[in-house]
Amino acid sequence: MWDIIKEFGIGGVIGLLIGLGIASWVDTTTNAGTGILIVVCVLVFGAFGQLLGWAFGKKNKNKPDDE
Amino acid sequence: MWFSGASLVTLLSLGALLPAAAQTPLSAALKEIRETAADICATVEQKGQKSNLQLSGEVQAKVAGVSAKLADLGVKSSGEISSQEYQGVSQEVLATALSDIRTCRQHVFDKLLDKMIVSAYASVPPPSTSQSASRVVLPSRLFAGPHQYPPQQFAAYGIVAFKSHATPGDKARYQAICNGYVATLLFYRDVKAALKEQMVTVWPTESDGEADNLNKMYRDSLCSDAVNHYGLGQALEDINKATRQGYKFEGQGPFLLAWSPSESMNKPDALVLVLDLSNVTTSEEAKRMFDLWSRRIQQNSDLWLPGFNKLALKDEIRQWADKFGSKALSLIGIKE
Repeated sequence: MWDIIKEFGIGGVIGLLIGLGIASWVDTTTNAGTGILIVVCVLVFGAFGQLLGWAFGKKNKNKPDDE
Repeated sequence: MWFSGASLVTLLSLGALLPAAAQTPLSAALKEIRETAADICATVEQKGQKSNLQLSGEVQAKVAGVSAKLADLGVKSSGEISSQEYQGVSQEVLATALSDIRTCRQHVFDKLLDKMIVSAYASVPPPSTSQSASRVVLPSRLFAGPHQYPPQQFAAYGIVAFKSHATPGDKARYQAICNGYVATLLFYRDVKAALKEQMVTVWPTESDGEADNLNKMYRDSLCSDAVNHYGLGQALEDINKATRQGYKFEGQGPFLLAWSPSESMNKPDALVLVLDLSNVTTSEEAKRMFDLWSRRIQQNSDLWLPGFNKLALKDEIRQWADKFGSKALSLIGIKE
């Protein structure tokens, strides 16, 4: 689980927190239910974070060097 | 014991409304209020030695004290309000105490209970801006036989579910509850709203013919027949259905159960509201409880009407996660 979160960076951490929040809100009755919600949120937010990172990273690379 | 009848009914109603977990702090809160009322009255009895200003200050301090204690107990209290508002509460309590020293403790207790707890739990909140007039579901009533239940075309339906038939010993109680039912809830044809904007509470009967007869009768004369031909089979079926959804029915009943019809055939209707009438013995108490029931139906209009439903969304997510969680986790190599 931590490997997945580490791989997805800050987006993964946000996904983990949101996943925990949703699991507590819906009051899942099994551990697997909690787990799947966290995994889905880590994947979605992690991917979104990667996408943002890639977009901004790309934009920065295209900037002309000031010096 | 110096509770008035009205306080007792209020307390019974609160007990039925609050979740089980909240009942212990509530009894502690009632103890605090009772002690504060006695304390205030003792202070007022010595008023010959003190000026009104001093007295007002002392009462205010006691009201502030009990308000803080209620907050510590985790009891939702309308005492958790601005100092200006609770000064008003103290003034009212002082006025009550001064006006009737003889029955001071009872009156002050009633006043504090009303101001600090009842208004917080039982008042109807102002409609939210998102809840327009068109999104209100109105409560109504209907007698229905085995083949007429659940009633179709209504936004939702409920049932007055007793656990047993009436016996000669408790027939009067059954009739009192029936009287409260017919006196408080309007017959569905008398409600000025379409069926899909009504949440109908059903009194089940043994046969469809009996239900049709009762629906035609004048409300003053129908309760004897309604009790004698009560549809216990349907009530027990609904109690079992609700038990399967996790609700425990420990009191003698009856219970008011409200169901939100499922959108698909293979899913059971969802139990959305429950009110326990086990403590009700008189028509007056029954009227109060059915009034509370009506208000809760209107406050929760979003539960019955189509559209975004937070509760349904929660259920959907939980069912999905619990059903597929284990398989999905093992597929991606995470062991439970």
